[in-house]
Amino acid sequence: MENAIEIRNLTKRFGKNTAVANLDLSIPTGSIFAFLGPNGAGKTTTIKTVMNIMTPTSGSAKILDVDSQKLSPKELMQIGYVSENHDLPLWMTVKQFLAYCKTMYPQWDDQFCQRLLKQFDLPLNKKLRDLSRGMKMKAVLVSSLAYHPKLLILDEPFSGLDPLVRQEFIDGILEITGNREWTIFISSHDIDEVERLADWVGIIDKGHFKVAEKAESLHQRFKKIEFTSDITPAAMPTIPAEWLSFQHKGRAVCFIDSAYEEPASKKKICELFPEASNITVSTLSLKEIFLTLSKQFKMMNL
Amino acid sequence: MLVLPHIKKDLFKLKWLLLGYTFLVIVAAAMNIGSLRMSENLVLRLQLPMLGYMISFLAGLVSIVMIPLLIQEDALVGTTAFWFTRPIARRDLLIAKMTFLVLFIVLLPLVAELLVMTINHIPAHYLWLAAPEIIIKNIGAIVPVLILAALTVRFSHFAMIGIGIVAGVGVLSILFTLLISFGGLTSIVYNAWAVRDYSLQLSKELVSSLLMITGGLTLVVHQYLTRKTARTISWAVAGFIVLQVMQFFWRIDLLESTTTKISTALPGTQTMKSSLDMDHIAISDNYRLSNKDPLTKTIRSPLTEAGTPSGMVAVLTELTAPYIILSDSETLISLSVSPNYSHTLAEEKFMTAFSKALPGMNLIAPFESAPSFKDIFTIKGTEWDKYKGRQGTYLANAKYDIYEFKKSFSLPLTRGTSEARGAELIEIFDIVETPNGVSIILTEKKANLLFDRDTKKENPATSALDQYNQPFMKNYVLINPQLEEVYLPALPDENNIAFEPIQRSLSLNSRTIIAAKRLDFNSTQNSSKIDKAWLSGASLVRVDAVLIGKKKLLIRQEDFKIPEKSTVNLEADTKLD
Repeated sequence: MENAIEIRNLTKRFGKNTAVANLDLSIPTGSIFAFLGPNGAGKTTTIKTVMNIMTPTSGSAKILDVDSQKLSPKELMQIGYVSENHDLPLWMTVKQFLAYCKTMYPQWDDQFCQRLLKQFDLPLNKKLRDLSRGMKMKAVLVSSLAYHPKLLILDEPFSGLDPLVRQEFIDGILEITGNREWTIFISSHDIDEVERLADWVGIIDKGHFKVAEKAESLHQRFKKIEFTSDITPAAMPTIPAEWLSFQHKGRAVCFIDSAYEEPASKKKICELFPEASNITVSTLSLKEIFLTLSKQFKMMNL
Repeated sequence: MLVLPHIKKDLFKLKWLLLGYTFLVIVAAAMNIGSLRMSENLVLRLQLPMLGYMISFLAGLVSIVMIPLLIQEDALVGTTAFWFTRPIARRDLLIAKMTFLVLFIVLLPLVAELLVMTINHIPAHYLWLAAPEIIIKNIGAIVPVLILAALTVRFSHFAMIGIGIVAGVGVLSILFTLLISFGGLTSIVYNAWAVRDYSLQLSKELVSSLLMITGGLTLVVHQYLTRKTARTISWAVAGFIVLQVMQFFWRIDLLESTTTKISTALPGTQTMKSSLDMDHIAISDNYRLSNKDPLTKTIRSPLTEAGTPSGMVAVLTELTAPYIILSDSETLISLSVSPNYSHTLAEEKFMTAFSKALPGMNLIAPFESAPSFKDIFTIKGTEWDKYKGRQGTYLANAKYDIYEFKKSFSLPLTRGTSEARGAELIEIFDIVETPNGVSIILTEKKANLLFDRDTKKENPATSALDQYNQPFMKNYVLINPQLEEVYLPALPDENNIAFEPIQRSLSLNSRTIIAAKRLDFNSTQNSSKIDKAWLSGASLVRVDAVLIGKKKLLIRQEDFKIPEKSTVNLEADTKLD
């Protein structure tokens, strides 16, 4: 199985509002895919459609090689799902909750479960309703990992968590992924946290998919270019489309090259700005790439 | 199959509510059993079932809370239910929830009620007949709640929508009633669609219950297996409308008792004639809610039936299409006529029937024979002003039930003696000698079952009124065979309400009816005195009116005169001199 999730031309409308439009996405097996986008971009709708919680208006999605609308308990046994929007049986204690979940998974690994419980320091005899938000998320994560799912879907898992709990949560996931070939599909608007985890990145905005590629490739492709030039505004050449957020203040020129290649990109700069000097190329964080793209999408929409 | 873990989870979640519900069901059953078996106090014996009924009602309310909590624990709508993303087969969840409901909401009350009936000496044959009825009624009661629970996410939604639906249906019913009333359609609708036969009413309820159960459970299964909520809602709305229409027009009596399947061509009744007693025609004002309402008046008269075969009694059940032809161009049509005719044992024809049923006995009645007045015509006040005193021809179709009085059974005059007659158990609860005779207190218990074809269905809600309107159906008389004397009991004293609580029928539910009767037998001047010696040779005998046929007669009264003098109070004008 090449891709754990394959989405083809997926559209989901709520009345006249289009939450997701003609989405195409492939999530390679074994990858940690960060599904990024601002609030209301359509991330949760995409995930819920993929998980057959919602029915797509058109298009299709395959999850573990099965049409999402035909997901059966057999496939769900291989999928872990952690979401901020989940109605948990809050009246249960952590122990009861895990015992209840265990009945659903023949492959439930008690030892692994115990290890996770210890790692997350979860109080077994406390009711879920009495746990903090972070502890609840940890309990759900344990219940979603203890059966070694092939695919783990995390929908805004860090939302509302304090930094310490986030750290523990991420450490937990990193430890697990360090040991096993699991596919993780993580949606978030919190890019800093995801950056540490993801090896693939997808960006969605207003229901439209903008980018989906390896994080490494994204970091290589997106570079911040800065140089000085005496060029006057009147003599400014036509800026290539791949140069984003172009700024010219005094002698300083700054932009993000979204198709950076060594040495072609530098050669292009010298062609367009023959008097350019002090050219510096710096790497961007995922957050900076995301912000650049978001601004670009906004301008395009305007 | 992952059914048991879900049941276990739901049991754990609803444990306190379930315990409370089970407690209420058991207490209600214990009240009913206690009232029937333990209490020596007659009033308590009759009041405990009422308390039991209220507790059962409370248990019903608890089940209305429990069902949505059970279903919404794993909600079928919305996008946030925990089970959506877990390997839980929809079919397994459905089986788990239905098993829970069947065990606690259907089987638990069934077992409790059958236990009450068993302890109440209801024969096994009737238990078998009662079981499907109880199951249908219990499931029928929970299906609407179940549908609503399956279509809502939270209890607050369930409660709000539920209250909205109940209020909406209530408002629609009121609007419909107002439309009919103010549109002047009351009598038309009543005559065309109103169901007067309780057995037909039950058939209608049975069919709608079965349709609701089948349709409702189909909707619930559909919702569980597909979660296509919009489709389920549209089907539910369509089903509700179909059910209402079906109820409005249903006219097939599936539960007709074999005892009411009687001939309409009874031999010997061909020459029967019905006529008005022209010497006792009276007219009086009908009750008005306010003086602004138009005044209407009712004309009343005793009816006499000539040519009734010997031993038979003709009892008026309905008068249809009465009208008065005053001249070639003037005809008055009655506004409406009361559908409930009350009768009194004091009518001469009943006395004759008693004599025929108890041959060779001297019938002693502690009351004078008197005719019974019936509503024969309703006229607008303005029309009466215009036509009073005018003569014409009165015409109407009169429907009669033909009865024969038959001796049913005899009970020795001993406290605690009982007689089981099919679905009935009659017991002499107490015998109290009075200065003028004797009072006998009876308790009657009856299995009033939907699927019992051998017994006429009794409407517990109207049984007291039915007994008042038709006091001749079951008659207890005191017989002394040696002296060849038969005493009829005193007529109920409408002014004496002291004994009223136990003269009414009380029902544990519609399936078990308990009633208490006080029969006062008083000596008269022209017979032997009812004393210890008289009572030592006496027994209590029940004479039943057995329906043997129906007859339709045309009343044609040529010399009918619209009364000139009207009174406000009907009673004042219909009292005989």
